[in-house]
Amino acid sequence: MSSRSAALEDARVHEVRAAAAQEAAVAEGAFDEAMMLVAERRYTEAVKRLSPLTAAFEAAEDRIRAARVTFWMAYCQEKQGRQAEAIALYERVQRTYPQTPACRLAAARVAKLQGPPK
Amino acid sequence: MNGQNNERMEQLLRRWGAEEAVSQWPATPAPLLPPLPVGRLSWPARWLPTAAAFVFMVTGVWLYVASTSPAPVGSNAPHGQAQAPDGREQLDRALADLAETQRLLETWKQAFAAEATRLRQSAESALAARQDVEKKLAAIEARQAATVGLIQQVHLAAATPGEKGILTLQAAARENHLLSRGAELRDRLANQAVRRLFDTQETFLSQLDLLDPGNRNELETFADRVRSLDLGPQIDEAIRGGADPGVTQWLIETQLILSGVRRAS
Repeated sequence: MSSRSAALEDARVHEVRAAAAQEAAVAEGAFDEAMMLVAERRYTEAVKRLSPLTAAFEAAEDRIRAARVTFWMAYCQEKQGRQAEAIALYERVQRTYPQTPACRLAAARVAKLQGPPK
Repeated sequence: MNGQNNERMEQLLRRWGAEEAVSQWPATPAPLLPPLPVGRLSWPARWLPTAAAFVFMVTGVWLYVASTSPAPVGSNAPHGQAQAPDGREQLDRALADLAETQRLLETWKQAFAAEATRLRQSAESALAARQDVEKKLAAIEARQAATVGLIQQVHLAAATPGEKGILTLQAAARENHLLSRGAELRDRLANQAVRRLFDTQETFLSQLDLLDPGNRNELETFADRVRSLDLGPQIDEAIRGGADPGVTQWLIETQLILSGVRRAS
């Protein structure tokens, strides 16, 4: 009985993980599209695409991609002139996803935004 | 014989003449000079001729001096009165000339001081400009040397496509501080088209920095994005348009890196 319930639990976990992976794959596609929008400087549309992706990558336990999504959302805010929102998001990247490539870039951008006025 | 007679005759004549002279001219005082009774003359009689001669001489000397020397100022009353105002006028004119000369000297002094200041400032500006140019030149030379290194890295990346190539390109972009330099340059850009160019290039550089080199699919997707948004013609236009040397350098370096991405994928 216990072995059967354990097997059922494994199957359920596997199913959840598969769904998350599928969701992450979809999110990855959406992320690529969002990156193209960012490159084309279509920041508002990019933010709309990026917004739901953090949760998807979090669910898939992909911290690196989740950090990237948050970073790019902050970047889009910065390019639209929303400095406070951008800094808040960059700081979230630093706080939530330390020791990721996105954390290093976020720190550099916060330093630039909060630097002495020229 | 005859000579002896002559000599005899001459002697006789001389003797005769002498005897005649003695007989005709007895030893008497000279008729024109009366005898001077020295011991009996009075004091005025003795000194009067001398005094008269002295007075005559002094008068002659005075007349000579008076006739040759200029008339002293003020010796003649009406003439002196006419000269005094002339002298005052001359003095006033001289003082006025002196004041004018001093004023001119002061003006020239100020002009020279202003010119000296202007020349000094000009020399200082020229020196500062030269130092600035030398500094910029040194910076450009340093960047050119870095660009040569960058070309080598891009070449290596193209020679080793895949993960190694991307890692090389990521390292090259970080070592050359392309992101921070781009952000600094962008803030100084006035040309909106070039600013947009910078934004796109910055986005690509950031995506490259965040790229997972081990993820082949991610690498291919990124390379496709770079290919589809080839900014080469726009960059060429910006460079031809006389972009700042730093901007040009940055655009060329980013293009090199992104061309490496296209070839390394």
